Amino acid sequence: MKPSEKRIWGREHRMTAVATSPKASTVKRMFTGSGLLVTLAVALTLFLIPQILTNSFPQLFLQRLFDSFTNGAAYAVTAISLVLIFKATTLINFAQANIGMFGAYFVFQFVTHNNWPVVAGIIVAMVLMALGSAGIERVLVRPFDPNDHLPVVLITFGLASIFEAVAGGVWGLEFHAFQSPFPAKPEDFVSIAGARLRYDTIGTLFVMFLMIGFLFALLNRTKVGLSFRAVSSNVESARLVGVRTGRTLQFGWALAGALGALGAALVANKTQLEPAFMAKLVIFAFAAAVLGGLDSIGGSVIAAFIVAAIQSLVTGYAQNYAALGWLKSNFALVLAFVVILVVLLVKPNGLYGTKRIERV
Amino acid sequence: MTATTVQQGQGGRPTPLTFYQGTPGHRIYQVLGWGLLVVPMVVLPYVLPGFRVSQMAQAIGWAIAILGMNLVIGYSGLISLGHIAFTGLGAYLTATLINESNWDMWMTLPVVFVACFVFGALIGLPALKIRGLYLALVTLALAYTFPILTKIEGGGIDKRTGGDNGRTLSEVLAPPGWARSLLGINDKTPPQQEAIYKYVCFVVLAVACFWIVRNLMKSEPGRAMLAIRDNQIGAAVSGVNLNRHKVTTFAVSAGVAGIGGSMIAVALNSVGPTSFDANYAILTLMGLVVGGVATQHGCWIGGLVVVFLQDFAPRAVGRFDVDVVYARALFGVALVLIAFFAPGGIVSLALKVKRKVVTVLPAVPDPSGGKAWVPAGAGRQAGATKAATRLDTLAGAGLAFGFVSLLVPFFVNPMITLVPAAAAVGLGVSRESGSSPGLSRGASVLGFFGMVVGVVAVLARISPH
Repeated sequence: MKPSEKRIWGREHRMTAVATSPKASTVKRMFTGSGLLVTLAVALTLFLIPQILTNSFPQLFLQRLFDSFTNGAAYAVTAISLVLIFKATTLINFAQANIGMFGAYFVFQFVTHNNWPVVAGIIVAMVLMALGSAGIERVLVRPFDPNDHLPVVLITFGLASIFEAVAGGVWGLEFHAFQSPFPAKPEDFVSIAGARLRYDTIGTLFVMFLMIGFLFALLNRTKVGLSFRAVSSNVESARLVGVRTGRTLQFGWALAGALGALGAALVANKTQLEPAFMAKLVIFAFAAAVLGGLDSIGGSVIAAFIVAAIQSLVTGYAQNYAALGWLKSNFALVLAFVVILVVLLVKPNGLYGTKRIERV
Repeated sequence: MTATTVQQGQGGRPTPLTFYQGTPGHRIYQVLGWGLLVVPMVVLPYVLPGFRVSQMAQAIGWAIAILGMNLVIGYSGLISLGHIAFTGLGAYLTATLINESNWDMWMTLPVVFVACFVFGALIGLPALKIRGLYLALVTLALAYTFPILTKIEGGGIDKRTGGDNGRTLSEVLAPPGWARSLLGINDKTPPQQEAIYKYVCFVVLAVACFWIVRNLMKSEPGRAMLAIRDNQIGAAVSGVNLNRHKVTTFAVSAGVAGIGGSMIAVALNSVGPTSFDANYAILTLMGLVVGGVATQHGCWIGGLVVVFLQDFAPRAVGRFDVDVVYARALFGVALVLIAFFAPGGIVSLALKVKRKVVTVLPAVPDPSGGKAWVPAGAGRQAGATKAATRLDTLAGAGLAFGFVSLLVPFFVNPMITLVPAAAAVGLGVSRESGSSPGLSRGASVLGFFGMVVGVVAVLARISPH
């Protein structure tokens, strides 16, 4: 081999090494891939720490953290329902938020007008939304080629509009109070270092983890879960070995529908019920799903709590800086956008997502 | 090949009208086709009430915004739902430049284009890494974010954008005296004059935008764009620089969408966060697909859809004694139906109908060295050719008769605005006919004659009386 050739090969080798090998310089690793995410997280923490420590430290900080838990749980459940559909079909259901909203309205209907207990209302609404989602998959989504994205975007956006309009038409555009399934009187809380951890927050977290446990058991211990994993791993191979892919995908949509209704019902007590209440939250669920990796259920749960904590802490503390007085609570949406953008730029598979190999 | 097979349409069935490219009938047919577009555009502002004309001006702005979206969604196959943010940026820039710096609308356009181009390139950079629905997610988040960004208190932002309430433009685009005389609208009320003037300005601007985009799509970047959309790997193998083209496309589309935004701001005389929120992201997407993805005529229809659907849908719903809230459900149903039954939008449906009625067959050079436009196979079947030519001329004449009868009632006043159209048609026809110079000269002469008539008429109107 001539010396010049050798040099070229050597350079190429070095270039690939920068991206992958653990020997790359620390500075470079701080600004590439997940390193950048860590850097940003550290910078954000350093930025907030002075404010966190000076404003009645343990109490206010814990309070803001606790406050973010309900949101975190709702984002997590909604993100899971997005992930379930994405895992199986690589489609994003833009109507997911409004399916959940519709489910919450069903609960509202059963509880306030039919005087059912809240838990029964939630379970029935989950079943109804599961059936509805399965129907949507069969009638509106399956006819299309999943690799052609535009029709699915149109259909899911169309459905979102329809759900919102129908909810507004049937139940009115005004805000409705939504009964929590947990004790939610003003005095129902545990005091931890002066911060109030409310019972309904604990209950919401409990239900969420119960749901996730149930989901994992369903996906890992049952036959239908096995076929779901087979389909999400490779549709063609799954079909070849005899998995009924259509029904399995339908099952995924049904699960997503039920979870969406649950997520909406968990958060509705806090935000109150109106036709767009989930659409306002869904962008955070998107952010969580993207941060966790759109095909990782566990990842999106962790990411949901991270996103909720960032939302609560940043909007709570950052505006104490004189120069950042313009940060209002609605600025959280901008944060969600930044999270989505940065994650997709530096680590498109998210924290826990499967790596994909792109040819071009 | 026999003449009978030649006369059959693309579907194999003979169509009522058949034209050969380059024959006089085909020319007439082409001119009439354009006339069907141009004549209503010229006539409508004079017959509709002022607020409708102003809505039409808005629709043209939205059409340009949709044209920008179309560059990305239709021609590049990237799904962006965030172009509303670029449109909004254009609108707010125009508003602030007019209000704070006393610029004219025209002067703001280059600034808007450049600003949106740069902003679009920044947002488009992720498009290199982000595929399909991921990009839809990012851009949807952008659409949600934009209205909030306009409300930032500080840095002079809310002072310029007006925060929640938006801003009213300090200066309206009112017609100068010569324009009033030129358009023949001296006898109308000032709001009507303003609406018509805006409409005419926007038509000119929009035609320029469409012309530029059309040329872009026919040139190297456009073809590269289509190649990337149809087969990314194939395009890369054929030497298309994917990264450069994707970012450029995104940036150009953002610039075009920004121009649309400026037009909307001027048409509305105001800007506000609710005019450029996620609802409008969905409405513009709907306009795009109703009109027809990856078509240019579809954008015009899309603009009309964005403006008039919001106006008519609640009333249509109200007429059936249904709560107005359900109007939104109509939009949703429309989106679903389009995805199922008309994936190509109205334009593709119209083309389908047209193909059933009209066939245009290519002219093939006559092997015996006669006139170039003689139809294929005609050398052997002279009788059939004659019949075909007669049919051709007759069809053209029939269409021409219909066209003229359409024109007559409006002949008096708006004729003047037809002048540039006539010239354009004449020039366009002459440019397209490479094969029969005699005819093209005739068409140009016609166009030129129209122009002269127009100029004389204008002079007659301007001269004091």
